[in-house]
Amino acid sequence: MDKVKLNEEQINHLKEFIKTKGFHDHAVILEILDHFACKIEDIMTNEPKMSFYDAITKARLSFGVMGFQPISSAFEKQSRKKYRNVYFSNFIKTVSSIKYIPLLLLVGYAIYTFWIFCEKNNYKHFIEINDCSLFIALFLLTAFAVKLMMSPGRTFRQKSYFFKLASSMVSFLPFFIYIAGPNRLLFSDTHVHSLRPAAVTLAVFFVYIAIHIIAEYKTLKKAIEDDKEIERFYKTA
Amino acid sequence: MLGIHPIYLGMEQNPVIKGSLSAIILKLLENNGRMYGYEMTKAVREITSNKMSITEAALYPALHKLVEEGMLETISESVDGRMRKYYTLTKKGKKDTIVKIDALKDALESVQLLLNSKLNHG
Repeated sequence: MDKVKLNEEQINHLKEFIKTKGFHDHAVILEILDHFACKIEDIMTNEPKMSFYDAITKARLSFGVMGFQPISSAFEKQSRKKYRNVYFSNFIKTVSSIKYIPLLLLVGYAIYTFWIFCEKNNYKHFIEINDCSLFIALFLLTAFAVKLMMSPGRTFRQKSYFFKLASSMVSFLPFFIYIAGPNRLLFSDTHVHSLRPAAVTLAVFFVYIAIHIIAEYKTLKKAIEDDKEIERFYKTA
Repeated sequence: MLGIHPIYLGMEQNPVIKGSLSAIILKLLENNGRMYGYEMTKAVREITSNKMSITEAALYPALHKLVEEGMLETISESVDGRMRKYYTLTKKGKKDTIVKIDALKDALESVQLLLNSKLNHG
C-alpha cells in the first residue's frame, strides 16, 4: 500500500485549521503541524476511502479533549526556559568578558564621579529642576529612544513568537532589583574611608543595568534570529 | 472498559508507564539515532503491538524536559513541505540512557518480585 503524502494545498489547509483552534503563532503552528499531518497521512493510508476532511476530524479527535493545547503549552514552557537560560548565559559571559570589563568599569566610574559632582554642587535632590536632574532625564530619554530604534517594527513584534516570549521575560528584572536595593541607600550621608557608599551603590546598580542591557540585547537578537528561521520554514512549508 | 485494553488509554493514564516515559524515549533514540515526535508514538505502538500508546500530552512535555536537561538536542528540517523537528541524543544523553535503562530494569524486576511474592503468599 502506497503511503499517502499531503500536498501543498492540504498542508496550507491544515495551517488554517490549526489557526481556527486558537493557535495563531507561526512557531506553535509549525510545532503542531508535522505531528498532525503525519497522523492524517497514516489515517488516509490505512483507510484509502476516507476523505481528507474526515481524516482531519479523526486525527483531531485522537488528540483528546485538550486538543493541541498540551503541545502548545509544553512548547511555550520550554521556549521561556530556553530564553531565560540564554539570558543568564549572556549575563555571565558579559561579566566575565575581557571585551566588556573595561566598558563596565568606565560606566561605574562615570556614575560615581557624576554622583560626587552632584553632591559637591548641592544637586542631591533630583526631583528639583537642576543640571543633574536634567542630565538624568536626558539620559533616560536617550536610552528609551535608542531602545525604541533598535527594537524591530510593530508588525514583526506582533507576529514574532520568540521575541514576545523573550522580551516579556527579561524586562522587569532591573526595576525589581532597584526597588529592592539601592534606592534606599541613595539618601545616606555616610562615608567609608574616602568612598561614598551612596555613590558606590549607584555605580554598581548602573553597571548591573549595563550588563542587563547587553545580555537582554543578545537574548532578543537570538529570539529575532529564531523568529526569522520560523518564518522561513512557515513560508516554504 | 468499552473493549479497550486499559494500557491503550494512553501513558498518562498509567502511572507506572508515565514514570518510565523518559527512559523509553532515550532507548528509542539510542536504537534509531534520530526520530521525530510522531515517529516515536508510532514506534511504541508497533513495538508493543498496539498494547501501549504515548499521547501527545505526555510525549511533548517529556521531550522538552529532556532537551532542557541537555539529554537531547533538536534539528529542524523541511520535510514534505513542513517543518520536522528531529531529536537526537547528546553525549550526556548517551551516558544517562544506560543509567536510566538499568534503573528502570531494576525497578521492574523488583515490582515483578513483589507481585510474584504476593501471589505465592496468597
